[in-house]
Amino acid sequence: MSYSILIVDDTAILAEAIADMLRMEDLRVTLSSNGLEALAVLEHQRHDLIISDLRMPVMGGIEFIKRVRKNDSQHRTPIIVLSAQAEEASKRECIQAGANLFLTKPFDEQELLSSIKKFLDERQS
Amino acid sequence: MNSTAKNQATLMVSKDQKIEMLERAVQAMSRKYEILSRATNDAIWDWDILSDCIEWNHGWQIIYGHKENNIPRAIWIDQLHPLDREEVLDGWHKAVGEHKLNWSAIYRYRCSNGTYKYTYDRAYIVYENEMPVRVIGAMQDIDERMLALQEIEKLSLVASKTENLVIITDANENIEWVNEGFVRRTGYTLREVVGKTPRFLQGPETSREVLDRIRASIVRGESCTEEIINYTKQGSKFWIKMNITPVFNEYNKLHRFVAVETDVTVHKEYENKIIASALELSSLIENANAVIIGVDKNGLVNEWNKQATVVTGYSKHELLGKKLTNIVVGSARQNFVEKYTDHILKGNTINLKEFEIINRKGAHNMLLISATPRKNVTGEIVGLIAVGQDITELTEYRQSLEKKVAERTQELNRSLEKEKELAAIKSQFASTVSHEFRTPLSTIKLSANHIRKYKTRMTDSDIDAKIGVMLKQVEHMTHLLEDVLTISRAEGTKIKTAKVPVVLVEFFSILKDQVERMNNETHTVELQFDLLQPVLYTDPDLLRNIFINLLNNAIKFSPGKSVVKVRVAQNAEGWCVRVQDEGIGFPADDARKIFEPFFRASNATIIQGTGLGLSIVKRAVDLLGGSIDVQSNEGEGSVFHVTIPTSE
Repeated sequence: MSYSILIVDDTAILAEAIADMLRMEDLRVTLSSNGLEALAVLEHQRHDLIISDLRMPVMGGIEFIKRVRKNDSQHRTPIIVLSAQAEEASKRECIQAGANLFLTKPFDEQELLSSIKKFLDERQS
Repeated sequence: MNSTAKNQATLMVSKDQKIEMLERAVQAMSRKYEILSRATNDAIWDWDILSDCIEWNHGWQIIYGHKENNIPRAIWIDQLHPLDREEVLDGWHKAVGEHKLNWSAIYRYRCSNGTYKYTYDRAYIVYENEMPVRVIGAMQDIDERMLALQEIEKLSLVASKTENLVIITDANENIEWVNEGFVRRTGYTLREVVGKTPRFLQGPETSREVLDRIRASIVRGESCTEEIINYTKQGSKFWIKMNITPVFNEYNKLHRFVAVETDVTVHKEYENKIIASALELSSLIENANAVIIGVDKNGLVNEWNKQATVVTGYSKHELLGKKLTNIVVGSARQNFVEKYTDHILKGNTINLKEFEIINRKGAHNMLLISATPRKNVTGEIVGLIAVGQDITELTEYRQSLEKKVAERTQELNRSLEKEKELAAIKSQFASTVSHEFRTPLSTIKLSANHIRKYKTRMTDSDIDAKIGVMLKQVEHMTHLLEDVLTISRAEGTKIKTAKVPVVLVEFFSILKDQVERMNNETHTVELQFDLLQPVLYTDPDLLRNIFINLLNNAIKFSPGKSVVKVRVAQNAEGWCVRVQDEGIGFPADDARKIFEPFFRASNATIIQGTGLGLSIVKRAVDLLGGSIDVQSNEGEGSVFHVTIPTSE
């Protein structure tokens, strides 16, 4: 069976590129352009992993992660943050909010893929 | 005299007759002597040396009060004044030693009441065998005369020895006598001046006026006292204070003049010096370049110099004798002035106090006042003297300086604030720029690796799509880079405009195509021209920067709409370009900050952007010497007006 991944990013062109790559790895992908939209998506459909940007209109990444973690106290859904903000402070803030991994753009897609695989394997076992 | 008479009688004729005649003659003689001795007031005496007895007539009692008229000589000697006794006896022995017939002496003789009388004693000495046997004499009372003489001696001693100059003239003012003081001071001898009038002592500097006064007094027969200049024989002048007194004789007729003069040259010179320095001082006060005001014990003005008049506009005669507080001090400051006046009159001083006065025109002057009590010669405080400097201009200058300093401080604070803002902007800029670059870079990298990894499984069109994505991102980054460069160039304002002729219709037509293509033809840019001259002399790069941003914004912020309108017109101020969209607009509150770098309108968050676009536009417009403004209503769209001057 294939896993479903939620991508939250306001930059459509990048979100598409990531989605393309994940599809090539036989993963199902849902796109969402901000935190609020993504929360709505999550209400209807469970996802096995979330990839989120930080700076987004309407609802940013930090707020989105906090809201997700509020409904998911067990941290069952891994969250990977992809951000253009390279500062340590941003990274720390994300981890504190409940993110599992923080990758700085431009990221290494191999690292992203192996991290996704690792999280999904852990989830299965 | 008796013996002479007897000798003469002896020469007479017959014996009896002779005796009878002789007796008669003796009787007659005795009577004569008796009468004679009664007629005189002198004390006549007859000393018989052999019996050593002296016999006196009645004068003895009259003059000296002695009753016993026959006394031994030793008793007579006892009554001589002890200071005169030795001298009298010496004179007697000397006369006898030299066989003199006459002896005389002046001495003091003791009266019965114990007092002494000056006595002039003269005697005739009778010798027998060269030995004195009888002395007949007369003692004359010269007491009054001697006392008068002594008085005169004393007076003439005073007159001749005094340091004063004494001149005695006759009624016609001819000099009869001058004293030694006169001779010493003038250098003229008594002989030289006798017979002249004292006028020869006068000279060119002798005051005519004073001489006239003296003359008038003399004519009236009154005494007068005057100060006048006289000249010595050597011609040097000296001041005398002289008193001239007329002297009248017993018939009340003008007899002579006595002038007593005192040399007052030293006093006079001192006095003149004092007067000169007093004059100098008062002229100094009058002409000093400072306000000098004097006030008496009652607070009434008694000094008011020229500068005081200049500063206040009130003249001396207007202020003298008046209260300062009523005129040049406003009612609000009267208590203040009175308090300080009291303070100074109690012996205190005030130093450099700022003090506002009101001048005649009602304007306010600021004086810097120092004041001290004024004392008379005995040290009693009689008022105060205040010296003031008009510092009105200085005060104004100081105030303007203070204002300038305040302004400069504010300016500095403002620029400091700006500096801080700039620093904040720069760090924001760095993070924004890196953020804005990281996203397209991620996309490009991802797309490129996607092709490399999955190309065997991709169709040609899949690969083209990925390449398209990459190119688009590169274009986006290039545009971003241009913006960043423009910003950083404009930051330093070192940017040089390179002006060339730009054909506006052509310029905007090319721009229209570019922008439409960049935005995937979602909107149409409608161009309208209203031009007198088709060519604008300007910098095409800056112009492009301005309008590419404005048009991109217009399209970006009007999603779902299809038209953006541009009108290029020419008016008196220059070229006027209006860019109008029907988009989301922005709230009126944001209009002020819309051109600041990184500012994004509150309703713009849903639309991608750096917040740099309009700040770039603003700077480019500034560089071209133009202006830009915007009208916008949220939800109805925005209208930007750009004006670029024709000149330059």
